[in-house]
Amino acid sequence: MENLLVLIIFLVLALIVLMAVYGMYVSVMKARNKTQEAFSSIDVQLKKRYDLIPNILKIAKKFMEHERGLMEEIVSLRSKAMGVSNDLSESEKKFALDKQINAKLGQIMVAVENYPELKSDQTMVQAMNAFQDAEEHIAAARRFYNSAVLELNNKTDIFPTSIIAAMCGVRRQQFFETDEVSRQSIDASNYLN
Amino acid sequence: MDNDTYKKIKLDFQDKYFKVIKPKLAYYEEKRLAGQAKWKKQKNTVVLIGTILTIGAFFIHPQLAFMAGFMALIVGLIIRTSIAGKINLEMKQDFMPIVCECFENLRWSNVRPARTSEFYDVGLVDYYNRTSFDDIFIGNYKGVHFKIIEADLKYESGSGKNRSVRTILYGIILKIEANSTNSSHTIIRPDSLIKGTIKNLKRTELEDVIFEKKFDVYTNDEVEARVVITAAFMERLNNIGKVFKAYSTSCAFLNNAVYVALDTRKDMFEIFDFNKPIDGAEFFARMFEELLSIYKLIDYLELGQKTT
Repeated sequence: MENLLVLIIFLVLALIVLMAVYGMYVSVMKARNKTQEAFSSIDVQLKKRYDLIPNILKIAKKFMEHERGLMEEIVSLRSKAMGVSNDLSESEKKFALDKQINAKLGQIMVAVENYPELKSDQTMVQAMNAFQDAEEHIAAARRFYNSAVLELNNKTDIFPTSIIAAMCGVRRQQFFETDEVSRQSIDASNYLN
Repeated sequence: MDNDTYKKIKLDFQDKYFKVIKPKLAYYEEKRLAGQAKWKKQKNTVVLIGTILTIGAFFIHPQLAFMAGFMALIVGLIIRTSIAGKINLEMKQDFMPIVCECFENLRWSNVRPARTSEFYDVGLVDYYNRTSFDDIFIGNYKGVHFKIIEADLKYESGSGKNRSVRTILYGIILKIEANSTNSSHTIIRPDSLIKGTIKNLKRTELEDVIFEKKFDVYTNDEVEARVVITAAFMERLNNIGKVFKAYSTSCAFLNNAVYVALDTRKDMFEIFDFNKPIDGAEFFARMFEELLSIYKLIDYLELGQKTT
């Protein structure tokens, strides 16, 4: 009788531990999936921005012959960025390329200042407004991604979910940070007034 | 609106008050006094009939006596409300258009909205089944169409002894057709212990810690929600509740429309009190400031602009 009672207690405790472990596993997987979802949303927004770049460069090329070299660099970086898959494991590469594109686009925007005709061109104004909208969406997607990454990194760094994460191969992810140049956001209105 | 524009509007209002409104107040004061006299007569009649019925009913059944007394009270209140309400409506129909002239493209209405369930449908407030609307202002500000609706929304459940009425919102709802390209359905509600889904929208957490303590955000698009709910917007929404001394604040974004609900628990935009003489600028000044504060709210939240 005593042995039966001990067995029952042991089974109940084991069940509680299993449920707790399962609960932690579910929370780690949810955090990982949310991070993947957030990364995909960044990818969607970045692609929208990259799709706008050729149009902007085409309009700018008519006026800015001297910046041809810079434009070609942007086109090349854009092709590389479009080729990166939207898997979470490629996030570092994707963000690094985006930083470079941002930096080059910033230089284009500074150069636009020297071409008043370009600034007032209607098609350019429309293109820049669309670009500005894309920038806002990227900023929002970045906030979503960083929020998801924070949750995931908490799971991977803090005991006991860190054990479950390590066992499932879930690793901490890098935040989508902006560099100093990008922090000075590319605001079309600064250049088009 | 810049400070100079606010000053100009205030001066315009003062000018209209002294030249147009004030000369007519004596007429309405006479009406109020006549209404008070009429109410006094009718009150005496109601009290007399009520007393007779109550005493009579008491001999049949004590509970009937209570009901008779209660009915007499209700009849008295209805009569009083009807007398006061007629004068109030007449004053508003006379003076509100004059006040609205101080603002560009603003008009007053007391016509009940066609779709009374709209605010529940967009998720701005909880379900309600009793509605009452008072002042409605419709206008155009900085190229953006807006509506200010004074609403009293209640939820009634049960019947007889188990009947209960809960106030869902008693305050103002501001609806703006924004210039944004938002395609999400996002709701911001006061913080609640029960975190589930509202209108099939998933709950999301934002970065502002103070905002998260005060509000819950539900959305069907995490990215679009963050496009409209920027850090600046969160801070402003935190503050407006304090400024309006609102019991609670909620907000909803659906397609191009933005809704802001302020549960102020007070009757706003009133220019008449049946018990007080109509001889001072007090009511008008307060009503005007309340109206002006709504324009300041639109400016402050930058609701008319592309939300960044």
